[in-house]
Amino acid sequence: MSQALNYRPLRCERTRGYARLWPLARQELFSVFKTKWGVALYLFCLIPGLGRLVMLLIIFGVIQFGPVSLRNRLDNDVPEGMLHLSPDHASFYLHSTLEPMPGMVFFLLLTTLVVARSIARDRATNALELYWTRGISPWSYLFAKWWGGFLLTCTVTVVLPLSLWITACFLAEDWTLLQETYAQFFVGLFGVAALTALWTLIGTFVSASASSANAAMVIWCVLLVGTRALGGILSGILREPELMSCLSFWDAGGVIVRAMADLPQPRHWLGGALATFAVLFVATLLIARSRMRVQEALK
Amino acid sequence: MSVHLQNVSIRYGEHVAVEDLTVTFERGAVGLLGRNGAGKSSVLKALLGLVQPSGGTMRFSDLPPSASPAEIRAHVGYMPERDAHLPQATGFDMVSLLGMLSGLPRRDAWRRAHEVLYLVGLEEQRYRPVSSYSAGMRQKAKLAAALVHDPQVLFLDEPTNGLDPDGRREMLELVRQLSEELGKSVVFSTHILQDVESVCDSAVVMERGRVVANGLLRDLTAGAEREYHVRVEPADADVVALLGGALRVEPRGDGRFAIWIADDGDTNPVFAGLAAAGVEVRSFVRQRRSLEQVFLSAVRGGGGRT
Repeated sequence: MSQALNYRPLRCERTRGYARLWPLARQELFSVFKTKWGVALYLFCLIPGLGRLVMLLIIFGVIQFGPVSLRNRLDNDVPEGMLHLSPDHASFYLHSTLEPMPGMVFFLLLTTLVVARSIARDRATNALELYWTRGISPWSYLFAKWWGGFLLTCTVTVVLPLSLWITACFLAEDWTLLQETYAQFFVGLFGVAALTALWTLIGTFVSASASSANAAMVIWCVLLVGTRALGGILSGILREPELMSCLSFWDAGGVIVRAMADLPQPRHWLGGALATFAVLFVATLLIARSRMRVQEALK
Repeated sequence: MSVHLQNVSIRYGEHVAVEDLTVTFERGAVGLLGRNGAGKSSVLKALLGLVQPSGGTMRFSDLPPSASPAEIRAHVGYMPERDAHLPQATGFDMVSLLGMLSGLPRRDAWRRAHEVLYLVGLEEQRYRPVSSYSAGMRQKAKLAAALVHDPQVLFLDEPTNGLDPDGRREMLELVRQLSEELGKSVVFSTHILQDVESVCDSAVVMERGRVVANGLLRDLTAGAEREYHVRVEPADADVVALLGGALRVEPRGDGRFAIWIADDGDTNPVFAGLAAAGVEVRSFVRQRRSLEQVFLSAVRGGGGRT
């Protein structure tokens, strides 16, 4: 390498603040699309939303399938437990996001493979040392990682319901559907967005705390599925359905959003759900804080 | 850009990593030498703004004293010792992203990533995942990442680690060109003394958090006495008897001798004394201490020039 250096000095205006972090967030946002398996996973996670879209098209008669009178029947006498099957109710659009099946399963798939691995994978390849010795702080780095994961997850949890609702508004015969559902729907959608932000933030904290990507994935799955199983068993044994809302991390989130949007839901304990989230958030934050010290990256 | 540290102390709890360090890393290549735990990494971390010194001041000559740690890092290039790469990223992705994190707009980061990858010799492999690179290619990718934002100061931590002889030679040549031709300030932290000798103009030797030797290599290796290797004819001439009264002389056999003369002493008495006895001087070569000797004497408590 003895040739003369073909090196040009750099002359450009340096970026600051968010503009400096966005490339990292964007990298996280599109990380799942870098492999064909990632693309397949993402498309798989769209299935609940696409299923709802097919339902919508059938109900509005765009697709001729099943009894012709289905739309009329759904207009009348829908029992409260079946409201999530009627496009005239906001729960139709949010149901597939908030329910354990299919919502939790697909959310778990996406966040386990993207959010929970994000920082743990960087730690495994010593990328933290490269990132933190740049013009950003460790917490800016964590913010960018979370922001990218949040935006990606939002495309499934927020954008899909919103698209469904907009489609329904245009498929409906008049603007009655829009007028009757918009308030409840948008409060619910805001709740889902806030919950997605909180879920992905906790997932990012888990990723920052774990010693390896595999450990982060296991911990994240235990937090979602494990606590739900525990809640299901204990609430069944003790015959206290409300326990589910404060023992299961997933159900706690659903309870909070439904309460915000005044959506129908089974017996629950809102205070317990809020406490569950608060404890989980603070605990993961404190652990992540101790693991996000510079010494962690530069040994 | 030069870097000044004035009475800098770094503590981790009760442990004192660096104590009252005063040193200036001038433009050019400076070797930062020391054993494990000597405080080299702590100095680099402090200069990168990642560790807050418990006392003293640090100043980069071209940056305002009020510059934040993140702003300092945006103007400093750091090549870590450990293997480090971004998961799934190609060489180009890694270098351009790290450039953007240092404050480069996207277009400039892309252009610079191509340029520096060409500079370090990775132009053919830039679209391959870094995880598939050999050890030498990863070292070069890290150097490219350290250079992408055109820093005036480069901190290179063991840059020749894991390189084969050709790779090591290329890396050292590149570092030398960066400092000599482009005027970059390079702080070269390493255990390999030959690397420092071949690249650096000066060296700082640290031991237990203190500087025990610091200066230009030619001064450090000169020593307090000058050593000369002399070959005389006839080979059986008793040079020790002729000069031993005034100078320290050591026979090396076959008409060869080592002679030590005080740093401010004159060599003429040697020639005069030998000529007077009819002894012919066939060679008279000044010897320098190796950097290894300087290093060992410094860290064993002998100290050097500071």
